[in-house]
Amino acid sequence: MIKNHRNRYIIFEIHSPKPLNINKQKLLKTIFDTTLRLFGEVGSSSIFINLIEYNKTLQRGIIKCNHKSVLKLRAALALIHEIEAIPTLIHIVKITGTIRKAREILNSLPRTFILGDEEAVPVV
Amino acid sequence: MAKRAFIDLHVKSSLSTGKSSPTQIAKMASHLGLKAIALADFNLRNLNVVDEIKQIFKEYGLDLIVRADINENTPKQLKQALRKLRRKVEVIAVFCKNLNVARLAARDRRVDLLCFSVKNWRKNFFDKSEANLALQGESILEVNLNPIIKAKTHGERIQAIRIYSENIRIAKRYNVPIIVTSGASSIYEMRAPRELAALATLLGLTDFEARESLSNIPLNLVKKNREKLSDLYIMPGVKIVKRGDSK
Repeated sequence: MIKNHRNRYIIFEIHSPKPLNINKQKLLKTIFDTTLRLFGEVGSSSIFINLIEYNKTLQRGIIKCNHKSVLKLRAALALIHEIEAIPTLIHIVKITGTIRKAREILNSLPRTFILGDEEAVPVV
Repeated sequence: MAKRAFIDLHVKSSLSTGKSSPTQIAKMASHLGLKAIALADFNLRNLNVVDEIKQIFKEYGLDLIVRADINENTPKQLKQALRKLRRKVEVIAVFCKNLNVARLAARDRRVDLLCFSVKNWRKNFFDKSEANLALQGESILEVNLNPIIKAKTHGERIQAIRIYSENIRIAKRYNVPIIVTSGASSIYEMRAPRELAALATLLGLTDFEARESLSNIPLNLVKKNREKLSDLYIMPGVKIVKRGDSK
């Protein structure tokens, strides 16, 4: 059988003011819920989402999707603004065509990225 | 091929109503791959801190754009505000609260960006006439994606998407330039430019148009305004190239 779609692997990282206490299943459910709300059942089914890997400590992972639906998934991920009532930003670091390259990039990312999560102090 | 430089023309910091400090914003913007950020906090009272913040932004390889938001109720107040601010800030955005303010803002060449409410159809004044005036007045339509990202209910998000889609349809028909902004008031509301472009494609822009509205259109606007604010500028097409000896 000829495969009618190619895969894309999205390497992402989650920024939040405090560590998120969610596992792979919960994160996948959040992403599914968002795509379902935005594109409906038919639209979401064409994205072929699958959460391949998620590191709970570093809050990074890899999502697999259909190569034609990368834009849709980007839009859906941009709409996730909180997880379990904690403000959240999902940043797409890189998109690749092979899982091997995706894993390489994920492992090569710096271990920590401190954004200065201390309370903002007004300058004026 | 040169890499595209992306700009977010609407971010609020703790200088006004935002939750994050300019340093945090600079750090996050540089991480997200932005080249310039417009802080929409400036007014006549806090323009003295611009140099200090520009220095912070420079450390992260970013360019600070000084933007002022005008929220006036009458055309007279709007004119007064424009007179005071135009020579001091690089970008002026007017939030069109009523029809009179919207029409004046669209035809006044001192106004750069037009913003409209997405909460109520009756308060969205971007129609054919407004688009025609905006084209003559060289104003740009701002599509602030924050109401879509932060919508609390499905109804709010649907309403915002409908109003923005309609505004974009009219703007494209009358060739009014469009810029897409994040409208973030904290670092966790900021989004990477490609994500903003992906969201904008849901509103009726093509992928190319969405990327242009985050890079070349705001870049050209800032470049034009900086040229106008320089001491060498006289009028469109005329500027001082070299000063002669006074003796």
